[in-house]
Amino acid sequence: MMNPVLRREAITSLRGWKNFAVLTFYLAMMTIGAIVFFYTSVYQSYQYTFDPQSVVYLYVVLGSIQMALIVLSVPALTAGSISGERERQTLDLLLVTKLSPFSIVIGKLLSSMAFVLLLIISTLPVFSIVFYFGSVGIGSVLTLICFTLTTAYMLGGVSVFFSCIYKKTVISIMLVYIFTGILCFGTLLLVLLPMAVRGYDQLSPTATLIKLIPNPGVGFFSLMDHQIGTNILNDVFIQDRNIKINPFVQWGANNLWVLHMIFQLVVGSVFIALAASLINPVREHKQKNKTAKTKK
Amino acid sequence: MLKINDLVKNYGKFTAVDRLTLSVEKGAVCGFVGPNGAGKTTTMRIMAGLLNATSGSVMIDEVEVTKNPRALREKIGYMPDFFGVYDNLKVTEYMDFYAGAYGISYKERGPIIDNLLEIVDLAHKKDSYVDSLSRGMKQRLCLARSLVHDPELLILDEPASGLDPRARVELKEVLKQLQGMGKTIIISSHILPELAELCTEICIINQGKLAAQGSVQEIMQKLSQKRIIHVQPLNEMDRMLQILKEQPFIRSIVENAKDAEFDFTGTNEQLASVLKQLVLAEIPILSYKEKEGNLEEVFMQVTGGENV
Ligand SMILES: Nc1ncnc2c1ncn2[C@@H]1O[C@H](COP(=O)(O)OP(=O)(O)OP(=O)(O)O)[C@@H](O)[C@H]1O
Ligand SMILES: [Mg+2]
Repeated sequence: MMNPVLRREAITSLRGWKNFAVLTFYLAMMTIGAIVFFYTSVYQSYQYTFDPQSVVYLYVVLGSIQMALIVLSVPALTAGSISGERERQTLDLLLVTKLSPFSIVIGKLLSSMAFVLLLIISTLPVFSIVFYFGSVGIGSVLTLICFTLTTAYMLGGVSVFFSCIYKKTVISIMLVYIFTGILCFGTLLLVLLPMAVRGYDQLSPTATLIKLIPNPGVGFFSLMDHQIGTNILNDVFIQDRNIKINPFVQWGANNLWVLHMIFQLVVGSVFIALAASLINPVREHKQKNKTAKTKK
Repeated sequence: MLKINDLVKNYGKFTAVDRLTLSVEKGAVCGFVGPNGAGKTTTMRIMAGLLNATSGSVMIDEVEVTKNPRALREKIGYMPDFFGVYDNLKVTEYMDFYAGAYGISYKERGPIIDNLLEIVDLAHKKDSYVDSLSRGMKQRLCLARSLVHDPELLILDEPASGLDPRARVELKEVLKQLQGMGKTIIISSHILPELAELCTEICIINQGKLAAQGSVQEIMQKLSQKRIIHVQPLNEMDRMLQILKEQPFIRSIVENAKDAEFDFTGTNEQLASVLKQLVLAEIPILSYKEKEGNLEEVFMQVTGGENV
């Protein structure tokens, strides 16, 4: 049987205007991205001709716009899921049913994910330009879709978690953005600071690689790097260095995006589990009791 | 069916429910009465497994609520005091959603939902959006929702609040129907008379404590120490009053145009002997009876307003 929460969200969101607004905005951004790309690459080149090989960069442009939109829209779509139920005074009605807190949270998450999938599918016509010129294979596009979905999964899980804590949706959305910001720039700082102090050559490649796993920006870069064959990360980690490289770095330099996807799945799942235990009225109290007892 | 034992709920230092003990038999309709802040909602939320007690236990069919809340949810239908509905959802879809949440298969839902909407008299609103319903209709819809999995025990938190008198009567009819179906019902209210005719028993709680429990009659007998006797003579009012004034257990005689009322503190035998004296004095008595206690007064008395 389909998750009832997901089913209801599907019915109501198809009737609401919000999701259509997001969809329209999303498609508009993607189309504008493609148009701007063609304009700059065709009319700005000297011969007023167009190199089909350059369409590969359209793929990168479209993929980046897609990622940016997903990162922006998933919190906006999900961060009000539980707090909205609380505000509407329907959460208690859900909690007294046979649905477990876990399936409530999953239902909320899946409904956001389903919408994300709808967004992605709706942009496939724009991506088909890339197919048309044969620059990128269908396998790559499918991998990109998977990567986008795991990103949505992690951000969705974090959003639902904050939604269980804060009444105001805006606060939850901001916190998810801050969370994403920390993953992007915090990990980068962790790499750049030692580099500034000790110099690039002194950095341990293993440690640097591990520090970069949580970074969604680097993860996406790594995927693009891998798919269009620029191999920049490979050069950074392996080629330009004289030190001995262990097999982990050897593999990881080319597949950082795989590690990042695993990271996203783990983090998303942890936050979903936390969210489920937060809305469980019975278990929450048991934990409080325990801590109260240990304090005594 | 339901046993509450020494239930305590503290919010920080504040004790909302204070060592509450009571039990409700299967098939009973128990009125849960108390003023604002008495702890009714708190107790009911604990019963429904939405809140944990600080100490004490709530047992439903010999199973502790906190031990296995999931298994008990099948037995409990809960209607909160305040609740909301979803936007963009029709009445049948609303019911269908909760039926699904209780694990009822797609096939079974249709007839169940139709039947329930019939019971709460919303069948004609099937295809309306839930947020467009009136307050009373939402209230009935929520009642239907709490019945969707055919629970044995209904916990209704102030289902009549915000309803007009006609809607209250209709709600009462629905509840009577449910009682006829053999359901155990716990219903809260701050208005005691509202519940009197419906309930087989009444629990009055005040400041988290059980102030009284029993049938409506029992409660009134237990609580009204003074009995008010109404007596109507055919004539000779003055002579009757004269005799009454000489009686030892009679106080505060109120004289009306054609009849009189007095407070009586003696026993039944003494009450009978008063009548005997009046008859022996050849005063023609048309009626001589104990006045039905006023529930409102009882309630005020129990919940603290002593000098009502
Ligand atoms: N979450 C809470 N935190 C702190 N105090 C609370 C909380 N919920 C209830 N209380 C307090 O507990 C007491 C009992 O509240 P409760 O809602 O159970 O009363 P009630 O009998 O349902 O009243 P009403 O007739 O107004 O609905 C009140 O004094 C209230 O202030
Ligand atoms: Mg209440």
